[in-house]
Amino acid sequence: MITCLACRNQEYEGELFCSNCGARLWGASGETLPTITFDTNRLREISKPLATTATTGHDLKPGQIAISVTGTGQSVLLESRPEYVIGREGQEQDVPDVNLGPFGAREKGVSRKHAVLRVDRRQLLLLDLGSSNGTWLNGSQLAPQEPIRLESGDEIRLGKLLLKVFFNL
Amino acid sequence: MPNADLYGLLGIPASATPDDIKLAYRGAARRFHPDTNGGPGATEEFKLIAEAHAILSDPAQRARYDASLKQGSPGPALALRSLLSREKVPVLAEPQVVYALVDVRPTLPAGEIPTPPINLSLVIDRSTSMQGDRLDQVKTAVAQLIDSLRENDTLAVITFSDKAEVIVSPQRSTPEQKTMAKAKVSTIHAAGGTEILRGLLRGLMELHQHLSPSSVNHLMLLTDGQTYGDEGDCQLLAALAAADGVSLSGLGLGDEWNDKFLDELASATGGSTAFLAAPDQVAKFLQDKVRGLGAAFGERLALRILPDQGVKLLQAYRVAPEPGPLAVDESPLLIGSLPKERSLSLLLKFLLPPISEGPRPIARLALYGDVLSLNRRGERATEDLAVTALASFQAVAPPPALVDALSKLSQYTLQERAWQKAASGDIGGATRLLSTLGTRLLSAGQADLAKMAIAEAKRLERTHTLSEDAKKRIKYGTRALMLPAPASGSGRLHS
Repeated sequence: MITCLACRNQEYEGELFCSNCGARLWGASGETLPTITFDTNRLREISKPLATTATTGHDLKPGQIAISVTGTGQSVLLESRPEYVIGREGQEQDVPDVNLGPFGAREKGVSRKHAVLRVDRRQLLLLDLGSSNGTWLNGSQLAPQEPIRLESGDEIRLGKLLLKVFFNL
Repeated sequence: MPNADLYGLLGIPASATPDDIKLAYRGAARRFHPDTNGGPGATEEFKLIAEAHAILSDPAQRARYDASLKQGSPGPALALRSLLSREKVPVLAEPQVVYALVDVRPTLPAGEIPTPPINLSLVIDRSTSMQGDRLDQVKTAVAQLIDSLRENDTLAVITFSDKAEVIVSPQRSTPEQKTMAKAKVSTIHAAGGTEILRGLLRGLMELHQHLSPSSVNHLMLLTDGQTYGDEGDCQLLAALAAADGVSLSGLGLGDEWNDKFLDELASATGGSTAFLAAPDQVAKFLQDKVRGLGAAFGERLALRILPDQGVKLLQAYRVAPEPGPLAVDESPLLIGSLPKERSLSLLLKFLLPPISEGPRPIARLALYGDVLSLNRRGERATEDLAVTALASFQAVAPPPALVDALSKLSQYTLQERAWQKAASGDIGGATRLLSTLGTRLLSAGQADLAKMAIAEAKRLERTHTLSEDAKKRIKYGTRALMLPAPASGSGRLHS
């Protein structure tokens, strides 16, 4: 089998295009691959909804972060990046790493670029990006641009949108 | 064995020595012997090979056969050629894929070929949803089609709703008949439901009145809606039509017709389905279609694919003249009509078992078809596909024509997979595939289709439902991309 350099999909030897992402599979080395599609794939991959409806943090693999949206039973699973911008998609094509648009983020006052989750030496930090309606951690409001350390199970509020964050770092 | 290419059956040139013949026979017989090759058609091929050997190995019979080649028949009318993604493959302990781009061409220059008569049945949906602009545009288009017919073409016009009516009974296209036919077509009005089986049945019955092996026998089904409960019977009729040498094409108007059903119906006869988003495109489409039917060199083409032991045919697509998937579980593959000025191209995907060093045959392709204008039926052309496995393998770039066809096919495949994922509830997966398709299309210079794919990805993510219109536009849009750009000088089609 051969592995697609763009999306890690497995294909038969002799295959010319990846059936999962359409990337060219011949021509050997990675640097000859076109780079155009790489970003989009990454963007989609990191905010993959979890199959389980309720997350407690026990089922996370090392390196994974889960954000569960309170009241929806749905979670967003994050992995493999040092930093994630949380927000909602705007009118432009600019989609944040964690797009809360599908959870009514606009109505609940979440900014397009609202906050950042940063992984720092097995710690997870939360940082408000100067959002219009503020970020709260377990009931107290954060000062903009000042990172604060999170514990797994913490409750975060972006505007009026309630989230819980779990991680295994 | 009339029209049999005995040398082709054994895979040798006509100059072969008796020893060559013996050797080739042993090789070919081993490949298709019922004990080693259980594939469909292998036994018949084995018998043909044995007959060819019996004639060619007997000096007197061979001399008679050679003489008949020189005198009577003007040589093969259909040429079959192929291009492999790799001619040399690595020795591997795991399966590997090899693609073949297969090209069918007439052996005669287009100018020397008379055009065959068309026996056409036009089956038109006149259900309530066709009311207004749709039906008006269709009626105008049919009137123009009638004008463009030649005198020895025959046309029947059938309409259907929850019943079927013959509007124009099949007749030759004299000026008086044309005037009459146009007057009758202008009286068509919309009312009722959509029962495709009724229209199809009536259309085939009318077509049968002038059914002839020396004509292009074709039924065109035009609909804007879904039929319910009679899909299976329609499929059965399509199979019967194909057995009678009738091809069927579908034309879907708007976004409510069943593309999967119409695709299957048409491809069961070697035909294809087209999608028109707006009714004002119907006139041009019908003109092009009828011009294409009249420019046929070969009709009722069928390709028997005989894989060697352990080899599997995974997929088959027609790239040109009408792009679309072909059902690989059917044997032989019905591949439709060969235009006199263009080639018919197919893309085949084979899976090879683990192989050791040395030459390795993959499959034999046996093409059958009727060459109408030469009044020759059951023409056969043979092509053997083979690779050589090397222990010290060095990858070379695959042929550009094959890469081009495959890159377009991979775009078509991405959207097919996106719809499958969406249908199975995997909205995230479908969204990802559509936005990937968008970027692929963008980098291929297809800005309009790319925008459509990206917009549909966003819509799907937001609303979790598909737009039928966008789905059909993207499906038939990416399918049309497979068609290679016409070579220079093909503008001669206007007669």
